[in-house]
Amino acid sequence: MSRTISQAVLPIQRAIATANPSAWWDGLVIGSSGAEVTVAHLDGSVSRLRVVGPAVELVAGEPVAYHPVAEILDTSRLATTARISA
Amino acid sequence: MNTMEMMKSMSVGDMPMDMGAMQECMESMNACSMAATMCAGADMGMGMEMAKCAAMCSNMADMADATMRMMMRPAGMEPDVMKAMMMACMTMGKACAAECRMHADTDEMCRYCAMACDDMVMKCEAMMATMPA
Repeated sequence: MSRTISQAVLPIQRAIATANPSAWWDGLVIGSSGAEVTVAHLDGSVSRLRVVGPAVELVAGEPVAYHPVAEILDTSRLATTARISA
Repeated sequence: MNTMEMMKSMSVGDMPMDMGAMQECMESMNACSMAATMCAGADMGMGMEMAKCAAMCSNMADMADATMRMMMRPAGMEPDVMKAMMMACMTMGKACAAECRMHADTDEMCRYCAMACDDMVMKCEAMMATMPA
């Protein structure tokens, strides 16, 4: 049994993000290396994210939004799936 | 008009509420209801192996939806009823998340359903902390 489709943003992720808009975290990219992205959020916190969906090239200073429940990293070019690194 | 503006425009009866916490709670319940409905729908095509998960997700969606709708009628909010409803919703959320988490490694639907349930439980706990004892 497997319904794992980790290469795209799934409809269930979009539904969660749309239904719960208050959960988005706005921020700026402060570092990017391979699939790892570090984002400084507007509340002063910092998140380290691991992109598991379609790759996206991000540069420091780029504005992004992250939805921690839907695991969507939204950039100016595309939305992808990213998970908080342990 | 967003949800919070709508809620503020309505009478909250005798129950003082933190409208910000309530909006976050309602949005999280809405997301949980949608995620659980989608997870249940996908489970239904998986046969008996996922029958328990489908039934629990359906229950979760119904409970989250009913609790959210009660919050949208603040004028008729009875503190004891609201707290009991939220407690039931949180208990269902924990059970649904536990069931979905058993399949989360192989099933993205269950992974996101469990995460939406966890978030809903967390937001309910935050809202209950603002309610009078």
